[in-house]
Amino acid sequence: MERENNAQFNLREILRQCRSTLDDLNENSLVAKLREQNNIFDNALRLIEKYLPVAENALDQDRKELGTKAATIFLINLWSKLSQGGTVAELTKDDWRDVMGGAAENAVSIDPQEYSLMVFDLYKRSIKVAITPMSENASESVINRLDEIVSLMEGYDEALRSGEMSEVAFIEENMWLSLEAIFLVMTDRMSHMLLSDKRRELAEAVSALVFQKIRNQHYDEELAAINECLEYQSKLDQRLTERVNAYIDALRDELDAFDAMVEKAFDTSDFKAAFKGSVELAESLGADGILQTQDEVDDYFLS
Amino acid sequence: MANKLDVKKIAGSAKDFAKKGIDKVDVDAIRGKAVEIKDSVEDKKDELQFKLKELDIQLEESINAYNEEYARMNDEGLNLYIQRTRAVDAIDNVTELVSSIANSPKSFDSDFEEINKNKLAFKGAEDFAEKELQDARVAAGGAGAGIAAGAAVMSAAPTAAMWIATTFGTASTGTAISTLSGAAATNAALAWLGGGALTAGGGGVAAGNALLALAGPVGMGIAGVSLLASIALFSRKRVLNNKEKNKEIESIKENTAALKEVTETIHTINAETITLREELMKQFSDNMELFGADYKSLDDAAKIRLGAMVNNTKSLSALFAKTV
Repeated sequence: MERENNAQFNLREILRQCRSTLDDLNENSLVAKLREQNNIFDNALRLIEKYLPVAENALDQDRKELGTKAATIFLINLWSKLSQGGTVAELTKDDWRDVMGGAAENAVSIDPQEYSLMVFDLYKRSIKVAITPMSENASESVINRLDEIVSLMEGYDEALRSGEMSEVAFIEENMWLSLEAIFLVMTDRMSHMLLSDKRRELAEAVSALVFQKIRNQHYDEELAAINECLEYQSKLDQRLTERVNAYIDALRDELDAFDAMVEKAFDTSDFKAAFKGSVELAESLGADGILQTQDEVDDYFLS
Repeated sequence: MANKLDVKKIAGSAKDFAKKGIDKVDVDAIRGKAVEIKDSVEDKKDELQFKLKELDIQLEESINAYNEEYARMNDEGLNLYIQRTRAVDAIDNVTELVSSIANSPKSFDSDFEEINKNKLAFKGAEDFAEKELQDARVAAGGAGAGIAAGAAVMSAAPTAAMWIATTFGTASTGTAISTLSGAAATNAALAWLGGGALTAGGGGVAAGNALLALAGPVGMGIAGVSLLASIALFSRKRVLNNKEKNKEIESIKENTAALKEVTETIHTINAETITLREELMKQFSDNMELFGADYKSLDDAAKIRLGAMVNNTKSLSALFAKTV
């Protein structure tokens, strides 16, 4: 229940942010740039339409992720409508039905790998859009790194599609690259508004340092967690080996004692000792009706 | 958890800048430090990948070890069943010899009741096993059984059920037959290889944030924070996955160790059965010259030898009752 509420909360929050941002963007020249520069929405919609058939196991997906997907696809659908002209306020009931219905249906049906590709394709395209207005004022190193990031992301697309890269690695690498790009772009935009050239360089350097420190801290924590697992396994191996060896040693002792009793019970050189040994052996194995004396042997055969 | 920023430390660094005077700060030194950390992060990333792979290898190896141990237990169990069947024959031979010497077969039957009981229990276990196997097959055909487990039970040989019933005792035969697919069931653990559950659903990353990034510094800030949250979520999932994987490996290793103990116990009973049966058969051969003899006419040594043989036969019979 709590999980469901969280999913709903996230969805509402994402939608709220998206809608307010969209209203702002609609008045922004960036929308026009976006329309000119790429066909992002058409591509996204084509992807969605391609994966309409509902996967059998789709309903097992984590509801939270489903909410995120739905919000993402909702946003793409909405932008697609807006890119045809008009504002959010001008959308008709039918428009909203298309937007909402498509989001719900496609969030369930889209192939996970294609969704991952779609997500980072959007990031990649957003980074590309951001580079253009920066190219005149930003430092060469920033522009070069952003170009490099886009190029790396494109390479990962191909690697994922060809199976050279796992989806997990694809997501991880792309998330860090997208975040680094956002750090670079944000620092550049903020410093342009607020700082001198010298201080802009400093801001860029500090931004890079902070970003690397975040990554460093992240990997330190993941390494600590995996080290804990491996150390646990090492101790477990040691504990189990000791336990099993002790068990085997005890069995060997038991077998040695058994062999010694058998040797005595079948001693052909001393029939009396052998008889005594047979009694001991039978007792040790919990046999009933053991013949303890010669009289009992006689009774057994004669009575 | 991952990605908790050390805000105090960052704020402290900012204060240091302010104290020194921002314009006097060595920008190249900061850039150099960033590069240095970046290199270190790359090393850590490689180390992490290596260790994640190591955990996967441990999982695969633990499954292989379990399967090997399961096969070894099966072999030992089957071997014990064969040896016990041969022991039944040995007891029958001794019984015939003793019957030919004893004056009163009726009394003899009574005294050999324990041996007969153990033999009957062993034979009874065989019949019981056959029935249990049939029941397990019917159950495996039902809706409740897993595909791998069902297939394993359906294809289980009757001898497998025999050795289980005679080794573990009839009380646990049903359960044991149901877990005949032990090795197959561990294949489910293979799902934990690689990213496991991480591979599904795009890691919870919201693409909408990419669009927010176009809305200028504020939208980009939201996108950045959200992306950071996605990284934290991704990392948390991976850590949780590894913990689950860790538990899975632990469980497989514990089961393998338990199997090893069972196998060694069966091996010991087997060794005891073989030794005792072989010695008894030698004793039987030595006493065959007494076949059909009048007991009263025997000397003390022969009588005692016969008494020892009866005791040893009871010992071999008692070994039937020894279950794991």
